[in-house]
Amino acid sequence: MVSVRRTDESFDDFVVRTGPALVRFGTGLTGDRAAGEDLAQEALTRCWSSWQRSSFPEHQDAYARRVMLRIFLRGRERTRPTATATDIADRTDDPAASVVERDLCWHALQGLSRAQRAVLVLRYYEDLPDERIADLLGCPTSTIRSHAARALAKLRTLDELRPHPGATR
Amino acid sequence: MNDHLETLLRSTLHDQLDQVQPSDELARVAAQRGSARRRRALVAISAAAAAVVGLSTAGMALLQSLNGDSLTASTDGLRTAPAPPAGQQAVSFHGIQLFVPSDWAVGASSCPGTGRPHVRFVDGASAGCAEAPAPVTSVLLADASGQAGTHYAALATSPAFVDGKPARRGRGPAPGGAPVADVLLVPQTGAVVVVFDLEQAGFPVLDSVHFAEVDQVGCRDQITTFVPPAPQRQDARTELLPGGPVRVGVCRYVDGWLMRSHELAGAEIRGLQQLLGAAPIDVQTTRAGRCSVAQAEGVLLRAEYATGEPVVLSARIDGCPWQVSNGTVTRGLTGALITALTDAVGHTNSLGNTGELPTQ
Repeated sequence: MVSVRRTDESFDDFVVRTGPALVRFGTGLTGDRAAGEDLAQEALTRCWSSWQRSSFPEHQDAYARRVMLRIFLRGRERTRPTATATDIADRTDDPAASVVERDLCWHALQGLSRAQRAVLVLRYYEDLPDERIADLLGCPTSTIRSHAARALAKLRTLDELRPHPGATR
Repeated sequence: MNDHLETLLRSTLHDQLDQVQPSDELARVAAQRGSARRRRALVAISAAAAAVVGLSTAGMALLQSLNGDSLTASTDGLRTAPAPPAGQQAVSFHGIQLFVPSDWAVGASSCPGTGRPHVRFVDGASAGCAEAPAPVTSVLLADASGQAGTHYAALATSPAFVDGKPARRGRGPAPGGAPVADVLLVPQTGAVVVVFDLEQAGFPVLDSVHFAEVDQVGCRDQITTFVPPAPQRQDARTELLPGGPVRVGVCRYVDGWLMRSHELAGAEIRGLQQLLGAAPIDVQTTRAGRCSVAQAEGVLLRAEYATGEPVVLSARIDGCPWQVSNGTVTRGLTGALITALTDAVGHTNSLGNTGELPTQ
């Protein structure tokens, strides 16, 4: 995830190179692809300002993610995924139990606080150690562990996410 | 690290995200930046013109979001809770609101009486009495991750919806076997609503549950920091809480979620102002080693005035640190002040250190 700015890279190149990963990251945070893309786009717009001032930091990918997290955690992203009755019915009818389980897990993630969600996405999708997550979020490592522990505890209360015989992943 | 849930989280996130691709719109960002670079002089002229005519509302909102945070950011456009119907009152809990009759008692920091219908909170505020169902119609509000919440959440097995979002409902016995309770679990916020309708009053409490990004008191459903931005009001740069507020709301948060809220009455506001005026200038610092393991718990107080910007005070009530601040003026947090701030909105006392609170 962390890379040093290439001196010969234009901002256009930067967007092309990092855009897909940033949109995936934004989608993980917001739970919604369109909202995730909006988040990535807003972050890139702010990054552009830094780029113009030649104050874009060395670790540009991490910087872009930090900007996204700042916007996301300040609550400016308000989109919450919605599920319709049809969505649920479709999921319930899915013959593959693991697919249903992952779908339920995805929706359960949206029930967590923004900070908890950010920590889980960074830990389990970006595979970052807690120390790096703490650096990105600007808080102590112990806070990250606390967020993660409370988020996992909350998810464990959901029956649908408990292990059951025959589940395949 | 590799238990079932963590494995499921990894597979879920990769399953949902690996195939996500940006639309052409994102690619256009780069193109627009390139164009903007070529038109830099024109942009500069446009920016100057914008400054002359003043910032747009959106621009102001953006500046506010950059300079402040969710404590004082405009609540315009957020989903505000509907007003309760006549004869009913709204109760906020963990990102949801519900309506109960106006004459019901809403539990504060002591065990509610059992003589009339009431609402109780299993958040530590009513420790020792919250889990024992009273022999009258009552509503119990619990966090799904707590002991009581886990028990009742397990009873909610049927699909249901709250504002179009998936939830679960069910019916079953309270711990100990009786009485039977109706349960609603709201996974999105982790709230569990339990109704013991012993008098069969038939009041549709569960049907009244709804989401609200801003509750009736003006409290946001979630916050990400307890650090308030510097106040815009001149008088708030020297006074913790300038005199003359027309409306004061207290919002209590645990781990970022709104747990309880309360609008102060006139006498409560005056009493609070006296305590704030007497708060010591010396600020007790955080006790190292305690805060790092505690869940974030605190109170925000939002004071609105007839003219000018509101003032937001924040106070962590888990001792991290023992101080109350409006973003510029900071004072020590006394035991009496904590009581005044938390009396109507509960206090989980998660560190178990009430006896150690600094006193005047």
